[in-house]
Amino acid sequence: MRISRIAAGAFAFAAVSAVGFFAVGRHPAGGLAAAATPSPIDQIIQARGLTPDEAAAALKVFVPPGKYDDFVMITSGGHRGSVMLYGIPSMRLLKEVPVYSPDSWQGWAQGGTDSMEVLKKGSFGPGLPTLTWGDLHHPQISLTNGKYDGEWIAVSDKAAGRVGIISMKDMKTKTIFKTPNIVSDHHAVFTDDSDWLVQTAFFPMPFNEKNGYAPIEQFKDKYRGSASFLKFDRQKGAIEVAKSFQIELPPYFQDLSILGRGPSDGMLFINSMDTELAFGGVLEKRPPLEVGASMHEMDYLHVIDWKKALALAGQPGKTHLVNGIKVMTLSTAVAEGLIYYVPESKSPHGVDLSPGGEYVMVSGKLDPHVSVFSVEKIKKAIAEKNVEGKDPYGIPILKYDACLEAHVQVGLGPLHTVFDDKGYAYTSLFLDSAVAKWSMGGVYAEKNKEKESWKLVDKVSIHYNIGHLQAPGSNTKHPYGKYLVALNKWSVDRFPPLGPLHPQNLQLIDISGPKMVLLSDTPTIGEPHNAQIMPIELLQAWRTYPETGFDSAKMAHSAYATAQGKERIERKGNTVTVWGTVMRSHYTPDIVRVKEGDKVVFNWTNVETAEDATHGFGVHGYNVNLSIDPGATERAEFVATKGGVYPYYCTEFCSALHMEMTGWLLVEPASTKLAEK
Amino acid sequence: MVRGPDWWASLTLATVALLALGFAWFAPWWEMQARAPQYGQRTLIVLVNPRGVEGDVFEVDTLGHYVGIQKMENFAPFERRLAPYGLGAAILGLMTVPWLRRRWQRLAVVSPALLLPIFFLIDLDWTMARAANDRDPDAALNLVLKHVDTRLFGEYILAQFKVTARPGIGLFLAGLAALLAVGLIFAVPLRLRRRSGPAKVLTVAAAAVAALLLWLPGRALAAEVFVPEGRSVATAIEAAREGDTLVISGLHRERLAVKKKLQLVGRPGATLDGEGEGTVLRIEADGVTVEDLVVRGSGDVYSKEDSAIRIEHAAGVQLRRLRIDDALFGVFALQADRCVVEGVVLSGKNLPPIRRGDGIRLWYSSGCRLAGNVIDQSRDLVIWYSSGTLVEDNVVRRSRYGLHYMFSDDNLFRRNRFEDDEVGAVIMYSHRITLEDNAFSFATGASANGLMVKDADDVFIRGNRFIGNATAIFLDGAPQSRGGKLEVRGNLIARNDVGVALQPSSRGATFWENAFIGNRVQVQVQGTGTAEGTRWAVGGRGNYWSDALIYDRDGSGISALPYRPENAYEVLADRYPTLAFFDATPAADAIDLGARLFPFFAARAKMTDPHPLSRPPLNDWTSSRTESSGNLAAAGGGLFAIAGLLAWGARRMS
Repeated sequence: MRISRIAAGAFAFAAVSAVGFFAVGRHPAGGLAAAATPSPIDQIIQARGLTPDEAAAALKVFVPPGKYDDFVMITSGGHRGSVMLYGIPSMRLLKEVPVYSPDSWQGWAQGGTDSMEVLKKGSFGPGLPTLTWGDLHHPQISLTNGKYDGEWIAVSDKAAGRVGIISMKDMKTKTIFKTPNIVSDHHAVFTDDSDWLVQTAFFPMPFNEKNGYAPIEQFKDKYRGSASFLKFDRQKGAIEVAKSFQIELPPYFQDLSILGRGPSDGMLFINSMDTELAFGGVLEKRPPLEVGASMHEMDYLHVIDWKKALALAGQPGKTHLVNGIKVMTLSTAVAEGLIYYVPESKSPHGVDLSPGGEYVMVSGKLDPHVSVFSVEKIKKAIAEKNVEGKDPYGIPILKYDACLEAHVQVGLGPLHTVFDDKGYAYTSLFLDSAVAKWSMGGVYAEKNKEKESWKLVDKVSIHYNIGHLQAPGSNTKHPYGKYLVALNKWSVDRFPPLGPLHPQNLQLIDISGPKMVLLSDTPTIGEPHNAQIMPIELLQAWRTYPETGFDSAKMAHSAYATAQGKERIERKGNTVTVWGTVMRSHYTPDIVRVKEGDKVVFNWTNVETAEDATHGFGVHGYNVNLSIDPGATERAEFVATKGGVYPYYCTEFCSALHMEMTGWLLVEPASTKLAEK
Repeated sequence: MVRGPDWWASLTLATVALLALGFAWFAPWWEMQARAPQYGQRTLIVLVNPRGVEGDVFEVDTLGHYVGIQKMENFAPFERRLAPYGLGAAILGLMTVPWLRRRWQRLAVVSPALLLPIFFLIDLDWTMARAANDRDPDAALNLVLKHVDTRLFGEYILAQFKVTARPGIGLFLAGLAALLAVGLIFAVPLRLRRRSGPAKVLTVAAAAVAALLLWLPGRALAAEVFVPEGRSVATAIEAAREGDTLVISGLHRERLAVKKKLQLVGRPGATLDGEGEGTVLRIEADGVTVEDLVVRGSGDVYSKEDSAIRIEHAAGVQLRRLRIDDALFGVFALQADRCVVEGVVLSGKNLPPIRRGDGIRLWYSSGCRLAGNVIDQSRDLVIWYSSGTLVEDNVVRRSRYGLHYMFSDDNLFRRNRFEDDEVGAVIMYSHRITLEDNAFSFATGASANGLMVKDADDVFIRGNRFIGNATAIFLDGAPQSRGGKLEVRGNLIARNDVGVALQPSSRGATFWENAFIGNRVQVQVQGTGTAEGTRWAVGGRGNYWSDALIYDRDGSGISALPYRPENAYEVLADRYPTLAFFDATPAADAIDLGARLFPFFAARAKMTDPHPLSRPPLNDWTSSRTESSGNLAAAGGGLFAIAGLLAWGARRMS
């Protein structure tokens, strides 16, 4: 204690001296004289009323014009249905990429044929409308050999059980896949080489029943959770449903999950809640769901041998098709010994894996500890059948003490844990409104050189109600350290009054030193639940499309491309197809004549190759806007339902003559007499 | 012998009237149901009859005290004392009336029976209207109510409560008796002279029935069954009838389930031992009572919640004077409304702290009372989703959360001691909580708050002692709602690392007449905010600050110099809640020196107490509290703290 105090004291003194030196050092008189006649920098600090910490934080986060940040953070937009890209440390918003919801700026699902098709394919199907929103909780960057490769982003949808795939080549969504038999997923995790995506069900569903229906009173018997193993086609950014499969699980709201690596390779760990099997019924004299689901002491960390399940899924008789996907029944999974439980503290949020795959960290939000389970011990307990009982579905529960490596006392309301490169872990504390930093043991003890492993070493207060937190490369084999971002649910008073709906607050924290230092607050758009942070060098997106006439949906030359000089308008029956080009600053063609009731198809190719020379295509009255990026071919089709004159124009400022970049869609009314009046 | 028909009529009328009155005495005469959003599906029911008030009295009293309504036990004391005499008079009158000849005599003797229900209703109406409107003007939430139009029957609104009042069965029976009494006035009298015959027999029989009616319900038809060592308690439970009492002696190595209303009473030393497996005693019937037993030796499996006593779906269970040893969970109460846990001495299993279970866990159980329990080396005292709980005179020490409390409204905590726990008490997501005369001492965990209040409103913290915690009081989002209150008054906050820590989102709290003595940092505001949204004085009276510069020119006890702590070191220190690494080390001084050398480092005033007290207001508390055993400790603690402050000050000076 004494030594750490002295060390901390020395550090503080050094920090103050350094800042002081920076502030006064270049003044010829220095020292006390500086106080009398402050340097220009001192004057700025004084004028803005900054403290030493704030002055230092300002220097740490500033990125000069034209320079890039060190890292890019990909956050989810929550029920905005998009992801955001932020630069770290500046916390500048670099881009928003729409996935589940329309974005008229980017022409996403705003009348564009390809994007509308992606949304339609990713909906529930006949009987229900095309979904135009989603609740995007977790983004994940694709991995190669357990490290970020900067190629794909997979995102979840808590509102529909879907996976969205974004290509990081052009930052556009390529696929929305509606997984059968589930209606929700908290996140989708990639395997270390991104050949599989694993999704868990969250809401239990009676998917085995006819029409997918069973009364809620049959919750225990008819409702089921699941884990979905989706085969990912890395070339196309698509899901191969024929090769994919699901394992049926008890109705325990399977939530976050993490795939093993190294010693835990082939294992899948899933958090659950509501092992009480409560389903609410406030007006029916049952306790509300949140009350019912917090009756017991423990829930179950599911440990699934998914590589063995994968081998079995290929064998006949081990799976059967349910709504178009192979499903392994719960009884088969139990009989094959694929699933074990480890008791975990009630209603946990995070399940996180140490970078090397040796330990699984679980935090029950009502327990002020992080439970650290050893993969080695779990395997041993499974091998020795060291169980303390079975759940009602026959799944063995491993002895808690036999699996536990350590309890780390971190503070109140621990949720999620991330890792740095120096052998430390960081846990978000919802109730304390803080982040706890603690030393890891095992192989990580050599890195952090702390005398005590699994021990709290620092805490920083955050504002307010932290959910996830994220550090660069945290879920990979190769964490980078340096920064930590707290994704806070409430901002309360951190920003000026903006109406009753407050933005959320991203807080950037410097974790490069022994003590965490809060650097900045950033308001968000949408609700960022989780994020991933990778070095900016891995961002290898195209600045223009690689060839002219590129189909961004298929990532290949477009069958609908038009070369300059080949522009034309073709009529086949009631369908009028426009093969056009755009460039600064005109449309070819700029006059399109159709009849009321005709189907109009626009195929526009941006023939420019200059960076940033994007054109828009906004049509009056028909709810269409495209963003035609340099090299891209974009399409829109609609029925000209009402006669009249509908100008179209470039919505993205392109040149000095941008305002003149317009055209005319002339829809001749069906009754010409009416038109002549 | 001539038997006229009137003879029988008179006797029948009198007997039925007597029976009706007898039953009425034990039945509710009037019923009030109150529903409010915070009680969810639960309806508070109060039953009134001439003997007194029953039902959810504690809950209604607790709610009432916020708006200044007196406790129901104080209502109509005179009438309650009078009621038995009134009943006696009515019975006597009914028994006498058949023998009286004159109408006016008859009217006179039946008048008690006639007047009883009428007087009851008039008195109830008057008492109720007075109680609802003569409220304590100083009550915390008095202003939310204006005039209340109470009703004897029907629906009305009282604050957020929807109240339905209706007559009970007792009133109907009493009314019936009164009607029959009117009939008796006009019935043909009996002849007094006829000494022999059935009349006399019947008179005696009627008297006997009346007497029996008064006695019977009071005496249960229950049996007492003795279960000595060597005989199975489980077998005895199986053989017992509802209402029986099992008197247990000796050691019983058994795990039991009680599914009927029984009393389990131990002779000295009587012990139930679960032999280290499973749950020792399960209670699954309403109204079970367990007294004077040692319950020990539960299993240690979390996923099965091995407990000494588990109450599930059973209301009105009472546990008294038990010793619970070697149990993973002590008392695990699920949907156990109106349970009483009193005088239980509990120590957990001999396991490392992280592997222990909760001492007492109340889950979805309203209207419970935890009193005089001692919990040692356990995990938490948990109260979740349980409104209307009274927690008094308990000691929780060497545990994890002294009090782990959420989503539970209208609770009162008084005279409890939380010592050497990781966290003293955490109160979250709740409303209308009062903490009085408790002690929160030496919380020393990773979030070592003596008391943490998060996202809660209408919390009243009065006369408590906070000593030697990392942070004495931590407020995060409390109060948070429009009009929400959080009052901290008359507390002793001494020798903590941090006296009060505030997230800037906590606005509108009021602190006055507290003594902040020798805390390393008296007030800490996190996140580069200020505590300007907090009121530090009320009615010209602030707090006592041991580090304040006092100038009390007129001896009024109020210093003329506002207390405005500001120094650069504290600005820096705010970032490190509960970890006072720098304090009293050269580095702290170096930072202050740095701040003096480089004045462009803005030191910020984070709060202002406009009227600091010149003396710690110890006398004020002691005089305001009657017979509190905590007073001596408070005074002692205060002196101890002042001594500590002097020592600390001396060290700073040197």
